[in-house]
Amino acid sequence: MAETFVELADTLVLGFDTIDFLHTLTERCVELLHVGAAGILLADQQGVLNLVAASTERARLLELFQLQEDEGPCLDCFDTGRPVGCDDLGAAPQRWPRFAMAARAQGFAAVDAVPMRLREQVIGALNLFRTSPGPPSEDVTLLAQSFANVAAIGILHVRALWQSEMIAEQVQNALDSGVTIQQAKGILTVRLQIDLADALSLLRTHARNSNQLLSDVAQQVIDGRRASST
Amino acid sequence: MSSERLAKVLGYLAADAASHGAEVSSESACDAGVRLAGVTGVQLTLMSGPDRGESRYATDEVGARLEELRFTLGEGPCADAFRTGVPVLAGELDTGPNHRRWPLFVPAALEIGARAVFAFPLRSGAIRMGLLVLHRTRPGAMTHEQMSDTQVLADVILSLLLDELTRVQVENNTLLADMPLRRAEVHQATGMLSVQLGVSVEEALVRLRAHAFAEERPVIDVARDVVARRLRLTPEARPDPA
Repeated sequence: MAETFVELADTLVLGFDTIDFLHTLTERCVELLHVGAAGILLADQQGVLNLVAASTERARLLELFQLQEDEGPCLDCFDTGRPVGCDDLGAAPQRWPRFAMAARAQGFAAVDAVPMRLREQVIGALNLFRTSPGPPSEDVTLLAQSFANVAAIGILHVRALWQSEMIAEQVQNALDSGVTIQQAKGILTVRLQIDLADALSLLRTHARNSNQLLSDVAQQVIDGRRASST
Repeated sequence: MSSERLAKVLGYLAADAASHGAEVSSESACDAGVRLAGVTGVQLTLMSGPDRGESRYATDEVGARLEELRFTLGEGPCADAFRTGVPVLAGELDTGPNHRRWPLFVPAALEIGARAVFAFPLRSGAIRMGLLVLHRTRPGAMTHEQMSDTQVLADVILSLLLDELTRVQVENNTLLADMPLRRAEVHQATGMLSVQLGVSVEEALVRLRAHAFAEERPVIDVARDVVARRLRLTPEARPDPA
């Protein structure tokens, strides 16, 4: 028998806290990517990076270190919008000498940072800390970028609910007006014995000449107000 | 906890997309949903009303045909989920109560090979945006875990889809209003029939559907015949699906 369930309190995404979510995501990242630790820096409205989540206290310290010293992979990654990293924090010379020293003191040997993007904009970076040196496997690189992408989507999901509701309305209007225009085209092809392309140009011309929206003209055709006199 | 659930689902989507070398998208999320929810197929429809829906993606043919059935018959778990705004889960379609509840949909769905249908409404705030429809070719209820995951998956897929639509709009510098409709012929045929039969567009769509149902053909096929003027419905010929 079909069952309907209304009990969604457990799964509603509206109420959850962004930071809590990102923290959980860094933990998942560590599990799935087999890295030592992970952290996320996120830009605020002014474009200033802030630490929002870290899987461990050591990672948290290193993220804060980068922000305070204004040096490190996460910052470069955010600035350039490209993945950056260092496969051996013990080698010389170091791109980020102070950061490398701090990271090694926390027991890390390699680091990667991938950008978090929302549409075209870089909104933050995901940092992965590894305990042994060497290049990351291709899987890990792909997965890390994928994680950064979903983290961004998660933020979109939470932060911009009002915005997505606005988009939702636009999409619905687009669907509605699309349907209306197609129906009006169909009506005109029969009434005027013309083809679909001509029906559309007729609607367009009339919309332009009368300074109306195409979908409004289409609605008038459906309402029968304009009959076949066009 | 909901943030853990979301992290779990997103982590799953990320891992799945990465294993295919793909980016997470509404489509990749549907593909991943098949395994996450333990189903045979997943199908995604964007809607602004029961008669105004656009299938965006289906992982398999059965999923695509289930959406066709929803649109043709206007009944079934998918139609109910959209109308009520809550998930409608039928772990076994082939039961007496389900045959009585959806007398047209159930036999048609069984015919195309679906034995279980789980319809989740996509919602953005108060706005009903469409449906995520999962099906199994063998009967079996979803576990509570699968239901909760799918609920979150549906929300994420809607976010992805809205983001993709907006992105297309920004990249092509077009308006969403220019979004191409995949059922364009159905609406064109509806307009044509309304003139030919002298009825409202709403009534014309009912006639089109009834004809498709009687002929056991997809509405879109019949619509294409009408648009190509291979088929002309007459005012008196009105098969009644009920």
